[in-house]
Amino acid sequence: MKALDRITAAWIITVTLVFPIAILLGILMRLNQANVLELSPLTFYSFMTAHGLLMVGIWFVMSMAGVSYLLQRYVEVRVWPITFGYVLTLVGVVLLLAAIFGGGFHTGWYFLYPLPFYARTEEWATMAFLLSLGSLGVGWFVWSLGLLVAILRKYPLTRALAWHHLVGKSEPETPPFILISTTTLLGLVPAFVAAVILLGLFFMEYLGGVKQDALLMKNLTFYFGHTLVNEMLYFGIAALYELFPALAGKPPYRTKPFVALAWNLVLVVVWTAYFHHLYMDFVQPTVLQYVGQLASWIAPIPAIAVTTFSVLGTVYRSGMKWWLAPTFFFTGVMFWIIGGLGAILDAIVANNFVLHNTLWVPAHFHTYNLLGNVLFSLGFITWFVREQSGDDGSRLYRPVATLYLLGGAGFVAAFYIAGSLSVMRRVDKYPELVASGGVLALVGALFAVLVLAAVAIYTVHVVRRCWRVLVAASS
Amino acid sequence: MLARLGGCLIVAPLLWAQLNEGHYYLRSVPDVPVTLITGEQRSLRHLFQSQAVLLTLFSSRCQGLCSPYLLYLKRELASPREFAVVALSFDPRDRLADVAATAHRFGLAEASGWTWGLLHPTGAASLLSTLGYTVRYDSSRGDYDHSIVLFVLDRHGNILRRMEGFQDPALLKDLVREARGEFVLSYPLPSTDVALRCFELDKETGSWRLSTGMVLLLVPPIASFALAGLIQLTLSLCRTRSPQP
Amino acid sequence: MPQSTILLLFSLGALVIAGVFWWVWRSSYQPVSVSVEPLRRWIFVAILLFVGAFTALTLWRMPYFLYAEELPERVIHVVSRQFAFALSERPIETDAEYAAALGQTLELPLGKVVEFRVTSFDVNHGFALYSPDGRIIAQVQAMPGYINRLRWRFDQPGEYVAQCLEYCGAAHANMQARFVVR
Repeated sequence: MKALDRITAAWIITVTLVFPIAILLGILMRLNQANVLELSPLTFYSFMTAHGLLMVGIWFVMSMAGVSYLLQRYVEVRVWPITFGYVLTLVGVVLLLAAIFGGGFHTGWYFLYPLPFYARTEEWATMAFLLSLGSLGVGWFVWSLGLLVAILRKYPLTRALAWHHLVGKSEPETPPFILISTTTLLGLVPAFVAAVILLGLFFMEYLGGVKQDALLMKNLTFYFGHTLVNEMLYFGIAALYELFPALAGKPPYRTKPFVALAWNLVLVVVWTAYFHHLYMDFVQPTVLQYVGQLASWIAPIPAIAVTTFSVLGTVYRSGMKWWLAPTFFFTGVMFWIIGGLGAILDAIVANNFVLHNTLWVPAHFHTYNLLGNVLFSLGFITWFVREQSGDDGSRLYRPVATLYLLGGAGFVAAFYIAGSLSVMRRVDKYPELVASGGVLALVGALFAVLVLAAVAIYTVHVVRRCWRVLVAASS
Repeated sequence: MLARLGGCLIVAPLLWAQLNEGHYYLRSVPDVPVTLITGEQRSLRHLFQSQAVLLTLFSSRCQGLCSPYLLYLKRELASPREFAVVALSFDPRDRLADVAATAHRFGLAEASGWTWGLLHPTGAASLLSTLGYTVRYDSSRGDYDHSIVLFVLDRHGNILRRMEGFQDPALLKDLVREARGEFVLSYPLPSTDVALRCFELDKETGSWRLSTGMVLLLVPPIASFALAGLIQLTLSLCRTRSPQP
Repeated sequence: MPQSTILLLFSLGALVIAGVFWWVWRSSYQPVSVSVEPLRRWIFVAILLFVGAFTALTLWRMPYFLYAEELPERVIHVVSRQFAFALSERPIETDAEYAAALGQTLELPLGKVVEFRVTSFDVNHGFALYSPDGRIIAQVQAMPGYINRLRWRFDQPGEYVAQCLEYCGAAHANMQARFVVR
């Protein structure tokens, strides 16, 4: 379908162009922490806010764009919700950048209540920021609703969730791609609803002066933030399930009872995993802290186990031809588990007591984002470019893969070590207390430059070919 | 506007119950003699050594806050478990019969967990000064001006908490849990104008109770299932209505 | 677990994972028709056992009720506000009390349980205790409208730093307080 090709190409161009800019913001932050640069605190925290939101934003939309494109293999996909999502995303990003760089909005992606009311920000910037989130939220919600309707038109809900597989039936088969996409889309709805409530309460205070409960607001913040980022990963996994076996020349993955169980568990448990962001809030009822640790362990492990086993089983003695796309998927799974290990170690309350809000946190989420989720999306993009242009980017394979993986691994290693040395996250300069922070920031920045180089090469390759798709389809 | 909103946002009236509490924390009370309304002669140590004690002081002749305060304590602490309430008269004019009459007037003379007694003038001074309890005789009124305070004493006679005046019963319950030896991990500051509280201290039991805010946290997952069901229903209705080709 | 143990566990785990992936990747160059299906069941059982054991081992070690059975030797009231902590033995309820407490350097007893009652006058802050050798030993969040209680026993004499660990605005990095344990 030409229209779907075109909107997918538009997403890819947008995302791959913003990616290096967002990386650059991150490198500037690390260089500032290393005392190589001297940014003002407000500039630093504006960069931090922009870096976080841009990264989560672009990779959320890219993973969803990938799923939207692949969904046409099974069901009839309408393009207008995707275009609607695209337009509102652009509006949201413009508002966001205006708020951050024009109005000095600098409260971090999570704008933890009541910080926006205390920060030295232009008054209109807070409003622009909240409106920007509203625009992104509406766009993405309509888009995901469009996909959900497309799936349910063909697969009734219980079949889409593979409940008949749970009880051992194998016919009619629910493809894993449909199962994972459905659980992820359904899992996203609460994130959107929580965001609506959160924004509503913010506006209540902003316009009506009604004070809110800081504990409630923090719960809502992570309900939406954590769930969104968590589900984004699963979109990437859906693309992997769809594309990886074919890349290895093997038959498609099948939905086994354990697979159905794992993803249904993800659907429900993922909603309570966010409690781990409030471990150090002793005021949160303790029973929820127990639920948080259990959910943090139960939610990812079955999904990781199922996926890893399938991917390793596919590659083992397969004679696979390695090029950029399968390499991205394969290493993406590896770093997903490594990052997951870092995450569940931190999700143990007793460990969180000494790791909470240290660099251990960005260490693990960069591992499964930069080296996990992003790689899944890059795998899809590379595959899409080959489908459209026939070019598999073999000239780029060695430099891009080597620079990206080596740079990425070194970059996150600096975070892990710093985290174990109690170096705190979200500070523009390290106090004397954690003198090692500066050196490790420099190491991290240098490795990140390698990633930036790989991404620059890759972006040129991708944008030129996707531009042709866009132009050819419209003429 | 933002700055103004911010200003009035959290400068919550921190009418915290433990006014100056830190100053008295772990100060140990002197072991002064006490005459109980049963006629027994006891030392204060005897009253707190088997269980924690909530201690309050009063005067039988008080025309001011003593009666309403004792009523407040009666209402909130009717049947103490795992701690005792001790009410002692500090008024040198009081005789044992006056104290007994007061106890009877509130219907608490035989209440389990309640002990009524009279301080001896010699011991009273040292106890009052340790507790930081101010007593001043106003000859124009012929009555004492005095503090209204409740003390939590542990089994060694150390002051654990100190609460002045008539407080929110929730805070009193918090005090009681502390007297029973429970560690209260966290507690909310009293505030009046928060729109939706997530969790609140239950005024009856003194334990955490989910509140309106928590209901909001249940909305997202319910909405998710409702939405999926709704789409499913709409689609199947459309399917049955549209004529098959 | 101390941070160094966590890093060690993580590094070992990461090495094992990378090793398995590397080995499987190498094997893809020697194609042969095999089925790994029979392994699936055993691997899942192993994972379940591992998860179950780890959960059982770690769930009961919650830091919330540390020293709950003991009586703290001292109670320290902590109020956080952009961008400083006020620590005092007396409750801090007003701006004046906050300002008065700012200059003090407290001295806390060695080897005795101390209780911190932590709250905030404005936004969310973090209250993390750094030992004299610069490691986090304990922390709790400071949330406006609530008082969180953290009990700790200091086993090492020296100067400790309380550092803000929740991003609270432009000068967040410098939000510290110091106290001495001896």
